[in-house]
Amino acid sequence: MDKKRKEPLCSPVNKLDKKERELIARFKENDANAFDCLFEEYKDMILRVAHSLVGEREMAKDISQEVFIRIHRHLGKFAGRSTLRTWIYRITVNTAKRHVRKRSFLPFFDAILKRPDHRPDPLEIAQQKEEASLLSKAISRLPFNQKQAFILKNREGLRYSDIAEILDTKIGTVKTWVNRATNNLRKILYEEENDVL
Amino acid sequence: MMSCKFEKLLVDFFHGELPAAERKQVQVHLKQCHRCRLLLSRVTELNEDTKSMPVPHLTQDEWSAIRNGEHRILSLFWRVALSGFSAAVLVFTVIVITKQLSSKNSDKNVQTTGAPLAMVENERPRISVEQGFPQEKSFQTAGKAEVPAILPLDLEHRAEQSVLTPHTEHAVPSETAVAGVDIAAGEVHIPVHQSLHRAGVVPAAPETKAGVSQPAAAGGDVKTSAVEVAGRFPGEPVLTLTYTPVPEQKDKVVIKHNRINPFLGEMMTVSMKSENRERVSIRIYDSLGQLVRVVADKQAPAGINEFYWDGKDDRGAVAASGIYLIVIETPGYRLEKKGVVVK
Repeated sequence: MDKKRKEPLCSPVNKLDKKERELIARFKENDANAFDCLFEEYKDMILRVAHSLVGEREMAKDISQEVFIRIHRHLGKFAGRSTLRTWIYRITVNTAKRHVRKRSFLPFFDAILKRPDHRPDPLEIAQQKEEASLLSKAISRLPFNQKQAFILKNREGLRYSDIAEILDTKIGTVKTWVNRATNNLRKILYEEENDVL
Repeated sequence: MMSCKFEKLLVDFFHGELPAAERKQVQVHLKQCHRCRLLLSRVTELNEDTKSMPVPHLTQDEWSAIRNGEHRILSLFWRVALSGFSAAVLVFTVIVITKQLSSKNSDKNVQTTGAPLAMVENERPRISVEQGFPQEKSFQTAGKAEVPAILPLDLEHRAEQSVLTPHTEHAVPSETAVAGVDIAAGEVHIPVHQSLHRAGVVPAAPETKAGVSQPAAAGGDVKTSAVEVAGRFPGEPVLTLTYTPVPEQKDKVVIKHNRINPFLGEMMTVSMKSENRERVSIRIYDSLGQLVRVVADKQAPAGINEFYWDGKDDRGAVAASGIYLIVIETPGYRLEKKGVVVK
């Protein structure tokens, strides 16, 4: 979650690279193309992380849309204390967490609000089957903290320090979450070995 | 198999997150430890499988919808609003149904039920008497008109007994008639008894049940309660319903029929006069002081209200023979009376 922090008058730390600074500057000047560039740059990452965390196609689309709405709303105020990518990862993870919490309260409306004209294509059908794969199921059983740390580490390939910054926690905590998630998944997926080992 | 102390370092080792010194130690250890090698292979597999999990493929239209905020028909805000509205509607419906049910059940025993029947001179009100107890029927008094004190009534008697024909009307001749009696106020006593009416048939022993007294206000309703009809009656039974004015109740509480045989369907009657609407509590205790039955614990309207005890406890079982204490309470009033159950 983006905590509200007091902005120093002169911030010695600005983690934005040149490209990111230019993008934000153009966005502040109401350059419509700036947001389009940002959209194209990050849409796959956002969808990938969202889908990995919630396991559902439609919910992942919900999350992606909400993330972009939040980016659009807050990008002008982004101070650059983290990289843009880190900031977007944070928004994505937090939005996914909120959706997972609300999932049990709105299943009825999720069903009736699905696009009526949507017909899954063969690729989507195959993907839906994959959603039900053993690994996906195992990951869905993890506590959310372990799940988010595991996905950011194994799927996104981020360093512990980056994950700690995204999740606003300590590196040691991230290491613990990743280790526990890995061990839990190993136990679930390689059950037959547990008796031997 | 015992766990190895290097196990906990394998995940960080795999991800290259170990300090150099620890990394070297793990590398040396792996050459000697089969278990750790196996675990490391699992961590590696897990990482590769996770990286290769498929990503949903979205069409251009789907991406456009997300870009323009059009993915869902309603935004999350409206979905939450819709769910809140639905919850409010559900709660409102439950409240309305609960209120309707409670108003139906309230004061059942003391309010007039059934459609009032107009009483016109020389016309016989028709009252349906059904088996089972209690049942309340009412007919409207004609105010202060001069009507016979004893009014013959036609009865449509329905019964589950095979010898009694359902929906048969029985003409009841008047037994006595007293003209000029003001029945506009006071109690009306309605005895119910039955007798054979058909000539040539040996009459069976008639069963006479005591009627119940009901208040009659000017132009108001007179209530009558049906009495259970039991036994077999060959031929055509006749039921007679009459009413007789009785003096107004002066005491707040009057116990009638305080000696009853539950097996004969007899009822102990507590007649209570209330100036205003008040909460009435009537409880029956046995000789050991144990609560046997809660006859009433409810709000009663102003006027004369009657409550009945059929000699049964709260579980519906007939009470043992003996003396019982009837405790009647209203705000600021308490009375204890004795009653007897005989079998």
